[in-house]
Amino acid sequence: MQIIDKRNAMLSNYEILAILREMDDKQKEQVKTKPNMKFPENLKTIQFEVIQNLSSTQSPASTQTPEQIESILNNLKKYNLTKSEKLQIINLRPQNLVDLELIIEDCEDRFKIDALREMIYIIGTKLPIPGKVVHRLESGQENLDDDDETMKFIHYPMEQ
Amino acid sequence: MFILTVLRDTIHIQPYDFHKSKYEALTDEINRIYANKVIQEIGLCICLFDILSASEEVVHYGNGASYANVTFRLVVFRPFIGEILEGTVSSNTAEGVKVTLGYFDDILIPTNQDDKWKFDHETQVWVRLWDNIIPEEEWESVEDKYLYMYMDKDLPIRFRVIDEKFTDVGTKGPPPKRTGAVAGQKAPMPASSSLPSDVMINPITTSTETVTSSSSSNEQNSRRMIPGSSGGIGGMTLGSSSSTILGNKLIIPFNNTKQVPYELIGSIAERGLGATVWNWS
Repeated sequence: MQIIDKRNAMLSNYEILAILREMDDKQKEQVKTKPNMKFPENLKTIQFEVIQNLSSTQSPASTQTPEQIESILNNLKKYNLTKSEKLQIINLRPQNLVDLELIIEDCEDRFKIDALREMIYIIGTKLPIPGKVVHRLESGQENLDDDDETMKFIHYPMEQ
Repeated sequence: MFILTVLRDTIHIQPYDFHKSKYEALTDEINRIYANKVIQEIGLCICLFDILSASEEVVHYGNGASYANVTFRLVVFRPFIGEILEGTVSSNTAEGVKVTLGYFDDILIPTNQDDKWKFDHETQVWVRLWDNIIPEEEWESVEDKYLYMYMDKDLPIRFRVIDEKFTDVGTKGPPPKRTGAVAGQKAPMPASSSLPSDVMINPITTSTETVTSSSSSNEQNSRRMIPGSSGGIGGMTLGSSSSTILGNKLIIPFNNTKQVPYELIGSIAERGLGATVWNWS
């Protein structure tokens, strides 16, 4: 076995989910014609585990479509983000500045805070979470609508 | 998280698969060989992406199978250093917090990198300390200096990959049996990234009692016993080992860490990392 290219391309989680689901459908078709057909155990294991992980409710990949990914890549072109940053934005779907700062390297030096807020708004509209309303962030105000927050204890009332 | 790698390999197609189209036969064979396997310096292989080229099939004497040189692309799980991932806590060990992604279990967040980690003996979990931003005057007790993030089991956690380790542990047996002519037979366990391990406990005192438990035939763990006075080592659980009491000594078997072919080291030492759902009050 020869390795020709270690890192030929990077794929987003959504693409992996699509590939595995397609494979799963093909296998189901084959089982219809040949009910006794058995597939290799390692293939079924990895297929099942990855599909389960990527289609869970927390995973952004479960609700994405190719059109969303295309539109967000077009909209983020003007910021000149690196490939890995764009990929992580698609995979993780950051909802606030804290998450975005983790993904983008040197983001204080590269982007003004207004540009970052604009990015969050683009992500919110182009990669939507079904049922969530997106507000444009005003200066000095963080996104208050989040349910899954890590450290927004600034806004929690003090428990007495 | 996922990448494509281009490989070239010689693929054998058995005679009972000759009824399949060339593409289908090669695809099934490549998936059978590579799915859920770790290749050194490449990562965890998921499945075939596509076939770029395949040579003419040649049949050698002595064996009815046809051989083809195939260049193909595999979907591989290999996060890059610095990537943010989301997983769930699977256990707390002596070295740190073990995180799993479902299909990949060998992720460790070591707790000896900085001093913001504490081990809570009541609940047997690691606790991450975050500076409490509420000003000092409003603290109710000295403990309020920090906010405590308990690494409970099944907690969804976001972490950054800071290192990866490949270790060549050798192969663990042949790929699963081909399903053409031997459908119905149980396939042998493939070399997946983590296996459950059982520990054999050997007493070291002169007690006549013998304690044995079955050990997995796949593991070659070397075991050392650390005798200590009861309570001396504390309530730490060490990975997959269990302790017994013989005579008046608490004997905690010390398992040499199992070698895994591909391991990720993570960290949650930044703002925004850690548990994604956290009741801090």
